[in-house]
Amino acid sequence: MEKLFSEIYNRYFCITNRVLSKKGRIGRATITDIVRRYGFGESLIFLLPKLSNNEWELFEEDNSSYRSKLKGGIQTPLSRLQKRWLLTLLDDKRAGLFLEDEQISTIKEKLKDIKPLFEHNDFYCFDRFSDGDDYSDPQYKNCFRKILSAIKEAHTVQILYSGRDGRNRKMIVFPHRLEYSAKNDCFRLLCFAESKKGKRKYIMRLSRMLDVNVSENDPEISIAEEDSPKQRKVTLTIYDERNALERAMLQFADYRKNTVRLDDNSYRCDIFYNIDDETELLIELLSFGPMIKVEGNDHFSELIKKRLLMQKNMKEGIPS
Amino acid sequence: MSDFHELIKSVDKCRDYVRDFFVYGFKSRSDFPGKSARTYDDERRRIVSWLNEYVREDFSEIGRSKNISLQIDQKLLDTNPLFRVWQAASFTDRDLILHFFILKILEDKEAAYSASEITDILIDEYALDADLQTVRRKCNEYVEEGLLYTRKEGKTLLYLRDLYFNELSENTTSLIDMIKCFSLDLPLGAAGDTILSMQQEENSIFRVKHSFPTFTLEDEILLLLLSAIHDKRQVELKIQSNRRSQDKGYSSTGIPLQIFVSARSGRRFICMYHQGRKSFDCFRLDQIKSVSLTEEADDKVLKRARDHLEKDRPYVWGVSFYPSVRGRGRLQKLILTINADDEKETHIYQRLVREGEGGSVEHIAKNTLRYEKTVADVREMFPWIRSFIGRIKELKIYGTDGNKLFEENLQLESMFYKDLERMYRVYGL
Repeated sequence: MEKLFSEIYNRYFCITNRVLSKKGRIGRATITDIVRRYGFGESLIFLLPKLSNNEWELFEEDNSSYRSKLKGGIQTPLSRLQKRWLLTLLDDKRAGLFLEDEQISTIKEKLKDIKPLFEHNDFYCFDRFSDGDDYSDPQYKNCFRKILSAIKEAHTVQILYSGRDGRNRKMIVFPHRLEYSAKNDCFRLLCFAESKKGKRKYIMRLSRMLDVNVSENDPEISIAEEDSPKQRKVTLTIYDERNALERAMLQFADYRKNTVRLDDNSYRCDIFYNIDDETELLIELLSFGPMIKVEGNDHFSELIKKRLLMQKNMKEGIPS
Repeated sequence: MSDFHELIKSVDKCRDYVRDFFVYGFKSRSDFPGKSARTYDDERRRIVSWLNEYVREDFSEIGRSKNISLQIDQKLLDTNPLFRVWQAASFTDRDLILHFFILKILEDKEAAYSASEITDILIDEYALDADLQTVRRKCNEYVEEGLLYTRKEGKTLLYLRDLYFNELSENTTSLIDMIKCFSLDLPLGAAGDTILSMQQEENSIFRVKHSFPTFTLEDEILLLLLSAIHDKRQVELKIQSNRRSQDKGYSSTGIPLQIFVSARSGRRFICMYHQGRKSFDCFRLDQIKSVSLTEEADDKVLKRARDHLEKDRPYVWGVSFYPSVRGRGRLQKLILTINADDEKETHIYQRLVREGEGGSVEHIAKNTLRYEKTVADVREMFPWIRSFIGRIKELKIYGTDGNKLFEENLQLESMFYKDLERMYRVYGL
């Protein structure tokens, strides 16, 4: 039975290997830098003395300088858990976006004595949207690979894109991140483009891309997430009935938020969101029904009230 | 002198602390009754140490207590910081020394040494104080982990190292990209994260929306359950609610069949078949405190359970196989009439199709859509139906046997409308 919690994955082992991998003689300052950069918060207290006092006899010491006794670092062979997880990866429907069939077969051949960690039908996702991307589409694959390469090489790309209105558009953008949505089962490109109002953030669904061309002549641009519009805040009161508090905390896990207890049964929660996520957040909040109230008289609260008024006015079908 | 250390022997003790700190973000010492102040302080200090740059500490406005929470920012979305919990296993000095020297000695793919030869090399070439028994034990541990394998030559057992990552393919760049992406999304992504750490790689390309960092804390439970599913074993689960610390918990036994996952909440459940009752139960993985694999499941029973699951699953909206409010018939049919502008609001039709879990969607009149779905427990659908507030013309629920409709389930309908009325009151409408 494989273990996930094992010393072989320990961060101290990885840091020690980084230190050993440093070429030539190194001093205490270099070891300190590596431990500070890659260690946990208190690794300077717990790990650094072990290394700098050579308690593990990994170094030849000479005048406070250290050289690996092992002539460098080591490579750790893949564990069974890692191999089994990799094998599972190769059977994922998205694997073809990254690897050619031939490469997948080669790796599978190397791992032929290993069983996958799980089969994809060991899992059943009951609420994933049904209109996910077609990862086997050659055009999709082509766009994905070009964008991936452009992000890694920091190149701009020209994208031919099918808009919601059905019209095709061309855009030159600075690709920043490829975002996968587990709920929508799709990839989106987070990118920046110059507009009349300056640099603007765009989110484009890959399935709407018709063609991508990577540019070799890139204008100077520094991409920073701070370029995205300022986040908005919505304040909620959560009434902890029907396990609403826990459900809300989990549902809004990927939003920046701040929660305080008001009394035994109610909590105030500030959620910070990007304007792009507003409709999604509105729908999620409505789904909690009376267990969540949007506070204040701001824009978001008005959106909720508008929906409720529309519903109230739709008398038909509502029992008196 | 404190015996505090960053590393731990088992995740069990810290799991609830990590979860409670980061799911809620407002829990402080008083929220952990039954734990000593020292235990609380040590656990808290350790978590801050592991996750330092992701942790925000502040004072609660109420009670003036100190809270820690996970600081969600753009940087956080490139990784799952809670994977660090799996990198904190404690070890002895001897473990670390043997790890580096044994793997160095066996670096060459063809190098095959007995435990006794490895011990000699450690003593002669590296001047280490090594004994045969400890070296053999460590080599066998590494065979168990899959880092080494053995070959017999005569009566001698030789140890060789297994595959390095870069031996999987001539070019591993694309494979690394794939691991960066999937370790954030696929179950047991922490295993992928260990590969990235060993390859000294960090993700700065991919991001996963709707990802739920805390669920990695259940990954050891998940590993056991997957093992039971594949080995066709029955399990005994110890279950305890996360909400009530006084809750003593309970046990449940059954045949594990499939992991149910919610993409919207990140929650994962094990769907189990209870042989005695001939029924299914789903348990949240984050409420399972331990899993014991028991006897092998009978092949005939297992086949019957799987067939039964295939048949019932289309009627399960989330994880409930049985109606919580009964009427005539085992199933409930929901008919939802929705108002949506035929020209300007076509996205509503699309939402009903893509989010409606296979329910039928029909355009029945100008600006009017009808959605129908038969499920085991219609109450599980209410949160989704509420997301259409502002457009709901009519909601009807009937008992059904799958074909014939029985009488209207007014009790269920009134539950929905009472919540709606309460919302109007809450907002003063």
